[in-house]
Amino acid sequence: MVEVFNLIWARVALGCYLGGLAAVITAALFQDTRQQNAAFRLARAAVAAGYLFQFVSLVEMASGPALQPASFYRLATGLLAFVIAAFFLMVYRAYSPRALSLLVMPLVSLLAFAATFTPYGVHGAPSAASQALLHNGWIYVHIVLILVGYAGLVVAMASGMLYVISERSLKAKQMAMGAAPRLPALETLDLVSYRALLVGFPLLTAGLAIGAYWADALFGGISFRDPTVFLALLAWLVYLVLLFARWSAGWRGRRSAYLTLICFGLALAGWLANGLSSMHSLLQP
Amino acid sequence: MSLVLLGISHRTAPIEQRERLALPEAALPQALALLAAQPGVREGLILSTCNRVEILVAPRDGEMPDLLHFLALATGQSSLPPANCFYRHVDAEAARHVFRVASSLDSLVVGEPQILGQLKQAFAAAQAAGLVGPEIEAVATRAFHAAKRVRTETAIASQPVSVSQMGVDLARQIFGTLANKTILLVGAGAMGQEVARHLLRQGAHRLLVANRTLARAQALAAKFGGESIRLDDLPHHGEHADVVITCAGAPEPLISRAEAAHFLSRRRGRPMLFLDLAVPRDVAPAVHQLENAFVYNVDDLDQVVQAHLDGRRQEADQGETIIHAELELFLHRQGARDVVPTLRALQSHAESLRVAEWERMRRRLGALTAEQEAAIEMLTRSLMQKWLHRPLVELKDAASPDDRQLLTEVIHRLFGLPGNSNGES
Repeated sequence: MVEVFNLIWARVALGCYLGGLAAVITAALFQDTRQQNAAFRLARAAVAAGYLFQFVSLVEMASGPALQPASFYRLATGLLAFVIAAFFLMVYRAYSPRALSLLVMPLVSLLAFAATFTPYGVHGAPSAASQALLHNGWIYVHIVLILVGYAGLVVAMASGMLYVISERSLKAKQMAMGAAPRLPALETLDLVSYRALLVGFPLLTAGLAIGAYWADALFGGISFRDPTVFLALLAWLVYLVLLFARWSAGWRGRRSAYLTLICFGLALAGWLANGLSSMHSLLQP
Repeated sequence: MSLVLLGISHRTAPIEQRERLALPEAALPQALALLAAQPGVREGLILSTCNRVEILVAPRDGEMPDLLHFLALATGQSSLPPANCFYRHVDAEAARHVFRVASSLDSLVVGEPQILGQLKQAFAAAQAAGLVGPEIEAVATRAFHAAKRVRTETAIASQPVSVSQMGVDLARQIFGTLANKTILLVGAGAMGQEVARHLLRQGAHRLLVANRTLARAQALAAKFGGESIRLDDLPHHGEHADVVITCAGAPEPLISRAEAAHFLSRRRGRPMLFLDLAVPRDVAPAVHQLENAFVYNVDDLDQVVQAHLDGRRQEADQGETIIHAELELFLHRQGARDVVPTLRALQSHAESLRVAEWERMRRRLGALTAEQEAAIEMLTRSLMQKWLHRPLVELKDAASPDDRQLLTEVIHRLFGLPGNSNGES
């Protein structure tokens, strides 16, 4: 399959994100508050610039000639980076959670990198099975359902992180003074997180089930040694445990937030492992 | 601009002195009518709150109304507080004071929101009494604007500064809405009742009252429209409470860590807020370590309140910067307004000279063609404009009030304009 996208904007965006990441790391190393503030301002400006470039790149990809499944990865990965960067900018604007930026910036940079430099669709010819898949609408349903399931996880995770920040400040009995608007109430954050999980789970389940069915039909069964399959199933199991713990043991708030984070990490790893999976790279083995 | 302000406030006088001079809302129209009748008063405004009484007037040219005399008349006091209880500001300082008062920078609790409303009411009352003219209108509208800026651009009013406000605020941070929440009040301490009342006013749905003596609990429950329970039944009812307020001061904690853990597990992890207002404490400190339990005792609340007050003071510095900028702008505009009569007088003086000279010349020259007339007209006009350009620009751009005053006087003298400057003192 021939690469049809011009990746220049995605690469500029990646450069900006990496600059932002470097600034965030530098800020963490500074002792002086003023230097820290300056570095964080720089980081925010870099992320904002990257965000704009990524938007341009996404629009270009989405409006390009007939979207091809192999390049769909790029678009979706870029979209994920875009959504997380947007979340980062919004949260950062209001609360400046510096520890969080150390967590989020590498994630955004990694996704932006995956969206530009992975070999998806660049080398090799599509396998016969994937040729068949391309003419089969179900693969789109499979991908879209799983992505929406992931989006639910992202929302739940974001809300959970805000919960952790807010809970920590309440426990520390330090309610900072400042012009920043305050975080939503704990119960509100928890409810948002829970609803996002509830919406995401059935969609993810359906997406995986469709994938399993077609894998069976076209590839003659699914292999659990396939990294994408393995990680996705693991994420699904943790997801199930997460919901079950909420229902049965009343896990909420912090614990739920951490478990959501693990679940999202697995799901993301599965997504990034697409290139290592013969079935999911859509290339001939 | 000319403004005079006389005031007495919590900064300069104790309550015993201030309360004698307070003018309640009902007495305001009469006081304003009296103020209007004072010699030398052109415009006026009276602000009377529990922390201050202030009278702002724009006097007639060259006159200085006796505001102390007026205050004694209006309040019916034969002897006024000593002179050092009062402050008096004139012109720019008076405007600055009004700006600071409106922005709550001069308040007892810096950043409190009521003062702006009170000032607006005072303004409306003065308007109704026909005592508001261009001077007071200008300073009041700018003061409202400055207050709004201070409020939105600084965090001066964003944090609660009393224990009961703090209680409501914490409950909001945890639960969001109080609409379907249950409050449990243990003990009958005054502060506990105050916090419970605040929470109920903010929409809390149900109140449980526990006390060592059931009769006392019943009396309190009746007072607030709640339900009474026995103190011994606390273990059975505790789990229903989202916010627990304790003010019993028992020698041993009434709620132990184990009990709180039991409540939380029955609540399936839904959070609980404990506001422990008792000394000695009624809630074991270890409860705070439990997940989803938040225990705030009197010292914690007080510390947060103090921190918020400190924060407000810091924000107040930023507020002062805004006031400074707003005042500069206001004074500049007022100054620009003040030189307008001189600008006009100079221009019309020059124009009348030009026209007179031109008429005289026309008679001497006899018949002229239309082109010649137009050429002479243009020549005289442009000469006059060129001559006047520099003085007009200098006057308009004069930076300080003193400069403007000086230039105004100089221009009046050099050009022999009618009347001395514009009455600014």
